[in-house]
Amino acid sequence: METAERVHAGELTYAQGERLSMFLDLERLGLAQRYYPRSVYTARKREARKLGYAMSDEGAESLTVKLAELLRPYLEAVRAGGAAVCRL
Amino acid sequence: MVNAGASFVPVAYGIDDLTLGFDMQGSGSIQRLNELPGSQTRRGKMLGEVVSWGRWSHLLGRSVAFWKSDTNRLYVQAKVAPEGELCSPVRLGEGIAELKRRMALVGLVSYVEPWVTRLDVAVDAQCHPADGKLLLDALEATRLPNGWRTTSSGVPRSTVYFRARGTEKVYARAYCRNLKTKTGEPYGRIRLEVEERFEPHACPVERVSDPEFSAEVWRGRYASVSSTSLGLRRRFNPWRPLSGFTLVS
Repeated sequence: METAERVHAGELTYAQGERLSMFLDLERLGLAQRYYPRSVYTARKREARKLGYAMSDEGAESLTVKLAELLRPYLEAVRAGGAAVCRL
Repeated sequence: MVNAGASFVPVAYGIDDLTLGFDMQGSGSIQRLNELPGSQTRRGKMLGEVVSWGRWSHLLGRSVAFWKSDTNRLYVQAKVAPEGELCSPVRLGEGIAELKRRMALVGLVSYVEPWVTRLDVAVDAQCHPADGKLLLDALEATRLPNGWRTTSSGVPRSTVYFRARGTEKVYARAYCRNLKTKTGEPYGRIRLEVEERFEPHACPVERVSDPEFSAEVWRGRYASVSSTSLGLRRRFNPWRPLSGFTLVS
């Protein structure tokens, strides 16, 4: 979202925005190091720093995860399954 | 701020597989079972043989059969739904009838009704990959009841197990179907599965055919975790903007 705003504001080129967005998504998923060869991964990190990002320190950014909310759709599916549904 | 769980859309629910025990005492099939080709394993003789290109072929197709000659029992880990799908509990009877038919075709008949020794009940939900990863991370970090513990496998984490306190016995597992089947987006389809085991003769097939029984088995593992309403704090964004912008994902 913020990447799109920065591209729109002319702070980033489209190419930079696309590379950055993809890189940040892969980092959030913990897949970036596997996705990129080592040299490209290093280059993407360097570019992210250049474009105003830094690796979070421990605890710097955090999210409160409520497991009950994540599991609710599953529990509802099981409840519906009690009514004999195979493919929901 | 992420609206946690908003992206989870359940797409399948039912029995993944179940293991049936057949008492072969008094059956004319015992001699045939002893003669059939197979490979000796810890669980008994796994029925099947090596076919072309060194590939193993099970006697009953996707279902795996183990013959224990010391107890005269045949155990079949039955796949009762088409590949990639889950079997609705109410259709379990049809799946088992089909399995018995296939067994009869290869000369295996039991005079006694089978019993269930293991039941796997699963729910699949499609989701945004970030939510899928988050769910697996949260499940591993959660504190389980009864002293159970969590373990995980894969780098990055792709499967989370709920295990007994002092043994390696698995009670449930959560994993990404897309990573397992190598289709779709990683972490885009998360399966929450329960493994329930029963003593011989303790659980007849009719009991498992009751949809409420399978539902209760599943809830027995995951509802207790959910009801704790555990709030976890973890680092979510590995990167943060230095100034001027706030991450809103």
